[in-house]
Amino acid sequence: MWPGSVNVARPLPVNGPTRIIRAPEVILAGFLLLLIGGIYLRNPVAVNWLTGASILRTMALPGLVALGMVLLMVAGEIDLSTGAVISLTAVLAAWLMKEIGLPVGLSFVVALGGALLVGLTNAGLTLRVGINSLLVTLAMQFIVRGVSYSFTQGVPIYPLPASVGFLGTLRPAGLSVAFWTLVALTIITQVVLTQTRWGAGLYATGGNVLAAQICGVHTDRTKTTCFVLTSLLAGVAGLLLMSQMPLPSGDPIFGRNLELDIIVGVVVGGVSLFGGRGSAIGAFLGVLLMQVIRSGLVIARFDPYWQVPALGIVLLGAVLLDVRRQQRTLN
Amino acid sequence: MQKVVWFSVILVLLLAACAAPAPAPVKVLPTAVPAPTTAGVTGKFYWVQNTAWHPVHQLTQLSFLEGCADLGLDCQLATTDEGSLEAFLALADQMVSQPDTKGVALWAGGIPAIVPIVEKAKANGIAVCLPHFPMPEGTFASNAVQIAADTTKYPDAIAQAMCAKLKGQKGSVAVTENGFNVTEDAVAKGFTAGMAKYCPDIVVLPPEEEGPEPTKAIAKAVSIMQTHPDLIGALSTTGGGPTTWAGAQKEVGKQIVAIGMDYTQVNLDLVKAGQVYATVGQPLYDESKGCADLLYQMANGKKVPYWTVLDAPVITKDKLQPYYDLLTKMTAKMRPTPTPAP
Repeated sequence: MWPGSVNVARPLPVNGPTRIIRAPEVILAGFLLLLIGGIYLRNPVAVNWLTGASILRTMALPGLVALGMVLLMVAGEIDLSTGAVISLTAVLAAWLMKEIGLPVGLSFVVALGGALLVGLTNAGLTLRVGINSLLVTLAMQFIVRGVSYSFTQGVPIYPLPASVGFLGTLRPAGLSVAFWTLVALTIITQVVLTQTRWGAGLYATGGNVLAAQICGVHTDRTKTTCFVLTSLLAGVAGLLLMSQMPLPSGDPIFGRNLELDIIVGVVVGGVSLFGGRGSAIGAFLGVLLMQVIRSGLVIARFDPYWQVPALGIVLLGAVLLDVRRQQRTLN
Repeated sequence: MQKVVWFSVILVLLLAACAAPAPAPVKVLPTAVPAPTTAGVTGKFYWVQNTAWHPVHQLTQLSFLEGCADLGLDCQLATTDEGSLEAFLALADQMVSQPDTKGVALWAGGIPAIVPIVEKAKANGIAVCLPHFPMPEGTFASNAVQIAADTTKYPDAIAQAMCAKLKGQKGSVAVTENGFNVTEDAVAKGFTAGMAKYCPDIVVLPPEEEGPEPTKAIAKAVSIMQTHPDLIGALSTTGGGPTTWAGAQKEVGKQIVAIGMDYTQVNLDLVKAGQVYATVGQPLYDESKGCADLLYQMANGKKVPYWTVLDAPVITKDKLQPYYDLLTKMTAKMRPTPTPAP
């Protein structure tokens, strides 16, 4: 922990083994194993490496955005525009390639520039103007999604150069480029959160912004970085998604309602809605858990009508745990 | 830092304003006194629809306007980009309340919530056409007619095509829907019955919801493929279905006989590339254009049957060209053509 930082949300000290067992990540991993065991009992044939690899590949894109969301939520903010940014970058890159004739690489860079602008705008309106980030990013979701539709007139931009699909077809170790990118970024984010001054400042910002400022943390700068990183990661996810499609296209429907899935995964992963608490590994496990539930309910042959309520029940459970943890900390 | 942030805000707003050139004007401007049309009918005809941006919906709008132009009718689009039922109902109510309205086509999704609106239209002497989502006769007042493929019959042809392709094979076939609704449920039910009739050795699985977002839809389809290693075919009752099942086959590395819905560019190309076996040509063009004709006839006091039944053919690789031609004609009107450099 960075000397002088403040984190009011940290749990009271307990001895080593107990602390590890009580860690949200360990509880989550245990729950995940139980769930996989349950699915196996219902349908042993379907629990195999192919299914696992498919789940890991599917969770990669929301997982990437979730890493940005962890930083933002630890800092006490939220971003509801990520799903729309996924769509914007895909559509913008496709438009630049098809209508303007830019090379694939340059189109990707410019599209990520668009994502960066959205992040900066979210930060500016939240931190400078003082509007709640929930409202700012909700409004931004509508604006950005509208821009995507405007670019395309609702019709996917298609066909695109064959090289767009190159990354999407790669299968390193049977998984995907998106998944290995997620693994690498999860490790980096976790190290940044736990081993650096910036990470400590982030926890302090989300735990108690005034105390953090007194301790010399540039809270606005820290939050701006988080907003920008979240949008950029959503942009990267959009480009990778476009690359993974059977016929790559810039489709404005990409990422629709995905922001809610991402937030659910992050909260289930132990990231506090109140700020100041959470980890990249927790978010990774949370998003993985949500995907295992989604796929598992199909694999375990549960009634399709009960699949969505099941996700709601898991979210409610995670939020109740978070509220209880918060109350315990305040007491 | 502050300057950068404000610059970004302004830039994003400008981007939103200038993202694309305005689409070609398709709406007819309102006139103070309705002029008699060449068809001899005085008054306006409206196409009422929500989620107006959707490519399939755009196709229907343009088809309706084409039908109006052929008949010399004064038609307008009354559409909203919102997807909610409330937005649609409010719009429909406004249109049947206009004093100069002669007819409305309601893209209503087969919902009984429009019953009072149809009754209000009847009271105001307005003809109503209901495209695409068939409902039993007697559901609505007598001023309403419908034009659509028969969801109890065309799934039978899909099952026939699927069974012919899977001839001699045993295993299971999946069914996925965008969302559980009256039309998609009926197609799923009809398909299941057809499969039992034509290839009783093949098991049709209960329908699963794939939703509109492609990553989630593909993940769901992959789960279905993993759960049922004997899966040899799939039917999706939604326009995103071909992408869903092509994506799932790519993920799992196994080829199945997949059939989806609608003749969008991507879907036709997936059929052409052999990534899905076929797509079903729901009669979007004919039913939308046909609505203009039905409204015209009713406005002229002619009696038309409650249901004009249209065909929804299974489009395989050898039957693609007419649909490509239709799309070329329609999408030219949907997407603004970039201005060539001087």
